[in-house]
Amino acid sequence: MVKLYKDECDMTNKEFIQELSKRLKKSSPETQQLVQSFVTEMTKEIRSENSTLMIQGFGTFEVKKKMERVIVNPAFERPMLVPPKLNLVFHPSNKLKEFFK
Amino acid sequence: MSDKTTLQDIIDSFSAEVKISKKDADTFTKEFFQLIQEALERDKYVKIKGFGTFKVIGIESRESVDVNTGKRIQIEGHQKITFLPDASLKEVVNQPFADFETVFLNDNVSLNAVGDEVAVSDDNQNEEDNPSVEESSSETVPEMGHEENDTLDEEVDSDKEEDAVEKENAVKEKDAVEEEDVEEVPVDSGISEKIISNERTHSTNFMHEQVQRRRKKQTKFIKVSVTLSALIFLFLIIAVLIYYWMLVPSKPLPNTHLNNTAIVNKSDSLNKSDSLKGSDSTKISNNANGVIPVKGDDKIKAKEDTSNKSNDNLQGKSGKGAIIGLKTVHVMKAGENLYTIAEKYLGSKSKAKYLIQYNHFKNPDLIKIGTKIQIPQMGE
Repeated sequence: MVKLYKDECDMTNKEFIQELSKRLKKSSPETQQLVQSFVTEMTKEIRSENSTLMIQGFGTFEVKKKMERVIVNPAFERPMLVPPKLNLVFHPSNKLKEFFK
Repeated sequence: MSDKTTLQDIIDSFSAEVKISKKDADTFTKEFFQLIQEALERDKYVKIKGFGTFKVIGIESRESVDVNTGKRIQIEGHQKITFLPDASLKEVVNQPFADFETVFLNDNVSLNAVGDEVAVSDDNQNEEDNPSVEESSSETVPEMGHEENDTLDEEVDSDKEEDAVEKENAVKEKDAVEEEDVEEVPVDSGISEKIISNERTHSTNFMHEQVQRRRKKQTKFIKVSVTLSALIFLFLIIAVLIYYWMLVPSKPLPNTHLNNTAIVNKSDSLNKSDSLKGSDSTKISNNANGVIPVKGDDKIKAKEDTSNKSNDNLQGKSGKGAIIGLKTVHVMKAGENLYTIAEKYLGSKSKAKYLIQYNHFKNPDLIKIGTKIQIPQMGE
């Protein structure tokens, strides 16, 4: 899916908060703060436990470790060691998947 | 790893943090995810600051093969939700490994030690106070715990052996590299230590595989190069042989040198003549009477010495340019050397070696003035 004009079909953070504030019947700065703290809470959870964060009906966030690996730079043919990495991956739940089928 | 945090846990801590009722927090979070879902449906793209972006990506239909039946099937196009964590979130998640960078490996770094890592890794948990920690301490963050110092040492050692010159750099590099293996973990998280120790074995296996693959490549290359060099060597030998084979006929043959007392050298001359037989038989056929045809410059002498022919006859066939007897005695003067003398009496410079042979000069390069040189009579 190629997006030619980002503004037309994207929902940016600002729009998202506006929409959310409408629904919660709160002012947008208030919701923004709420969202922010909620996000930090989630990241804290994800980080400290190093585990899966399951959200019913939405999906799971999981921290996965990518192994270190030796790759060879194709241009110079020099072996390089790529360090291990922790990555956050999201698996949508079946419900969400169904929703978009 | 198996320990799952549900939304409820987050709501609890969230409500405590922001000081709102749990009910409000609940509705908030529900709305939050509901909105994401709806926004995704509508806009295909939702960005949440500090968290990441959700995207809906259309996947085109493609053909594939059913694994069980082997029939061609069409996988229909569908939409897929992807999530790309924000840079800040990525950083936070990856913080335990944040210090690592991609490192160039030296070509001759042996990764053998990595293989041993599997065996060692179990013990390493207890070796956090290993005195060899100092090696990496300069680069590590103080809060981090050190593990697998053994492997680090091994790596460093192997490095030292391999290139002592680059030792300093290599060690530093290695430290950086091996810290990845060291698996620095925040001190407070005991669970992740376990996780990582499990994963480490996987990673080391993977590394090992990689190394083996590289080894195979290298050995292949070596084999090819060895065969190539062997071929070149063989070719060179053949070329040299051909060169000599071409040279042999034009070379003056190993001569039979006969003293005045020719009988002494009889056997010798016989041998030489044998070798002559091998090299050019046509000349031997001319030598029915035991006289060997001589090149143009020797013809005169050949005529002079008809008397010696009979002598030769007695001895059997003798080589070309055989020494028949004493011609004259030359006294060495200043400015002369064996070449000039050979040219003077024997007709060519190349016959100087007969002089050497005949006079038994031990050091032909150093002949003093006044030395009496016996000039041999060359047979025809």
